[in-house]
Amino acid sequence: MVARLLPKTMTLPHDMTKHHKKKPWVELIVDALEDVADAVSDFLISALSRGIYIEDLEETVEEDGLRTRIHAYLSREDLESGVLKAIEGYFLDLEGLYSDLPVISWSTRAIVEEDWSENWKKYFKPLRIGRSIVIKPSWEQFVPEEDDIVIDIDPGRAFGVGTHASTSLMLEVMEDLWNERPWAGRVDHGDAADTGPECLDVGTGTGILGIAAAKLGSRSVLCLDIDPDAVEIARENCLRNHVHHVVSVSNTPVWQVEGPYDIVLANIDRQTLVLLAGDLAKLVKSRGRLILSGFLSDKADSVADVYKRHHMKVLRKKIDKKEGQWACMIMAPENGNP
Amino acid sequence: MAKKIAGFIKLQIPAGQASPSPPVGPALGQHGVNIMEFVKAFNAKTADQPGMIIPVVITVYADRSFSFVLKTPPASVLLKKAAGIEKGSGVPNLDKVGKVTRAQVEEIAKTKMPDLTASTIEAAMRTIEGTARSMGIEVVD
Repeated sequence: MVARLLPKTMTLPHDMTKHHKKKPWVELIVDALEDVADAVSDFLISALSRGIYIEDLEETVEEDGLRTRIHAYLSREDLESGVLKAIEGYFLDLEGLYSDLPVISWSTRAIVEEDWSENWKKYFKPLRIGRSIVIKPSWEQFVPEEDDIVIDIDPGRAFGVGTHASTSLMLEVMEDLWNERPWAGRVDHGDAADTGPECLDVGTGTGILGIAAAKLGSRSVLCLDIDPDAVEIARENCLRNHVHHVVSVSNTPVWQVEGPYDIVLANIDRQTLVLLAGDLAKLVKSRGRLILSGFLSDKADSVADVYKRHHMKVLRKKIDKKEGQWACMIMAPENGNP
Repeated sequence: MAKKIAGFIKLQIPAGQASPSPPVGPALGQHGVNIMEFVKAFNAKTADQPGMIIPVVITVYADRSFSFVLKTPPASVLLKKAAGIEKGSGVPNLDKVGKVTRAQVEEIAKTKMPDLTASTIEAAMRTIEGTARSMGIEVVD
């Protein structure tokens, strides 16, 4: 049982008696048995008119059962109102109710308010990927070089801000492809002039790959995600990057999409890539490319085998240099033009 | 791509009232999560349930993106509803503020089974009875 540190008579913790520019808080940390934890949470929420944070202490299952750690927060106003005394009264009464069982223990500590809504930004800095692609959070200043392609992505709910190795691999491969331009025919052979590829990004998340495709130069990009949050965020990111006239975002299932496309991008997980193999293979033009990532390098062959059954061949495989475990494959139709 | 999970955060917040201040700020801030994104999304999804306490589990991924699921109301809320009371007792050992039947406890236990560690309905009922007892709600046959 955690020692009870709360004094019998409530006084402001020493730190809180000083004048702080930032708002001081007292964190009340309560360890309670599962049987009483819900009631304790309810009492604290009701007493403080504020939510609580719950930590499961699974590693400390004791003889008498699972303990839950509840964190409640008291403002200076709460402390001055005497609510802490009422809370302690409730805890002591609970101890009396379960006199044969140590159902509850608690402690307090002073914390100073931080700018919680802004602090998380310190984890994100501009990130260069490949030769010219730079992922930049909107609040960061960045002076691009002449050929830099800057993608503004604010991390939010959706997955994919470029820090994951598979996203970096995809972006590096895309940069190479846009230099090689395999989709382009030969005008002197009667093919239309190269006005950029038509791209499909399956499992778009933040929309990062679709936006990159647009900024690298695409005629059109369709981004798909089954998660409505991701669709909303990808749309916001397209607007932020001024590519919304080229990129459309949808939650249409991939098997309902009409193709084919010059470039199909799919940075998902291995199981989904395997599941969608037939649908994705069908959507690639004969001169098109399918770029897959989201699987570990030792699983690349098994993914390739599935796609071979759908008449796709591996042209190139790229392994993440830093971690050496993620892979990206560039594939093309077996009967397609090289 | 495989989303590597960095951690889970469990909160109980009044519907439509999430804000960057505690408990959301300190709980999510330590994981580097975009707090305003969560606040906006949570409030949008719960605005139509004013007065309700909403348990929410947030999954934080390695790239600090997140997803969250709203859970069923806490057993304490269901008990208060069943007993027809606004709040639990501040001194549950001395002051009983309401009653629920064993059948109501069983109903609540069934609702809450997925969120409890109890492996049987009887064990879940014991946990719900413990919650009732700790709120000054008597369980009667």
